[in-house]
Amino acid sequence: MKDSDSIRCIARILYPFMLLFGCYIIIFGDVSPGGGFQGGVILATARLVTLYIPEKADIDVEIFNLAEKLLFLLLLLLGLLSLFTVGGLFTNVLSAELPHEIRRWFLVILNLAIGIKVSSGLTLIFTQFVKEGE
Amino acid sequence: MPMLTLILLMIGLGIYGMATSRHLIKSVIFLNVLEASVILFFLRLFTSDPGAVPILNGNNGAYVDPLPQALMITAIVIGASVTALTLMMSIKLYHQYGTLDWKTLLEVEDRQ
Amino acid sequence: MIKKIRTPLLIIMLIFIFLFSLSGIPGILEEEPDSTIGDLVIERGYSDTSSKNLVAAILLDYRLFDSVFEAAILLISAAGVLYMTRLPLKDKTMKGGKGNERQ
Repeated sequence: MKDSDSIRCIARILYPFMLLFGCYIIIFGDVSPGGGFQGGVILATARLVTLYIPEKADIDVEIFNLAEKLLFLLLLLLGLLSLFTVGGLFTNVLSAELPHEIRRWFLVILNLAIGIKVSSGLTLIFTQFVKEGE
Repeated sequence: MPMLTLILLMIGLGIYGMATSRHLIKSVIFLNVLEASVILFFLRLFTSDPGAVPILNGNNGAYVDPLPQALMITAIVIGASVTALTLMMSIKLYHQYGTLDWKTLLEVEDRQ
Repeated sequence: MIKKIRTPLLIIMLIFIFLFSLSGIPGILEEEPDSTIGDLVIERGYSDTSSKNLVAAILLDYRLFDSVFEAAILLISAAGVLYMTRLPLKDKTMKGGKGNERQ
């Protein structure tokens, strides 16, 4: 199946659109269906599609592992930050008096962090599975 | 309630399969069936019938309870992690012992 | 004797546990309460968290603690997968059931 021309062609066309769709799901996670986890899974699935493209660039797993660790630390810091600005742990950093359009950006940043973290973790898992099967 | 019957059947199928299957991959599959049944259970039984998606859109309609959905996304992610770890463990077991049969693996474990 | 009735006993016990857990769900055995947490979230979710998606409001504000450690579970699982692929095989391989004759 890996040698099929049609699948390779469709995978090439589909790959950027899947990345775009995943980014859309992550960024608009607080006003439409979606969120960090769902969009991250879509971004990781886009990596699976590239298995059908023979001349893909080889990726280093260590980068994904490092990104996941750092983004988890960032998530913890974002959770702890609200203790100093609002007074409670693990809530919105921006205070409730600000308008909704400004407070919304905290959710966007949080969604982005969770989405990139989940996508790098799942990409790592998929890549290791493919490597183990070969 | 046909949905409750289906969920009960799925829970029974999952427990039966996990108790009786001798192949490791089959055990993982039945674990996923059990997990899917729990997710279905939460999503179906905690929703009121005339309910919209819980995304505010201006008009005051009846929304579905958002709490079980938020809990179930957690369950789905954890289930995916557990499945990935279990499958990788079975791959390594197969490379080591050449079989994925529970009984054979236990015998090998006893002999060592 | 006990071996014969063990499996049906286990199944009956599991069904009983399931039905017992149903009693905690409103609307099945008990009557529904006046208001639930979901009603509270629908009512004040937007003014509290400024997120129109109420599921995201729960995930990213009310229960951010859960979400962060859910991400931690994924991190631990990915690290476990990475560790396991680098694990070297032991010498005493028993491929194809050849090890069955060895004591």
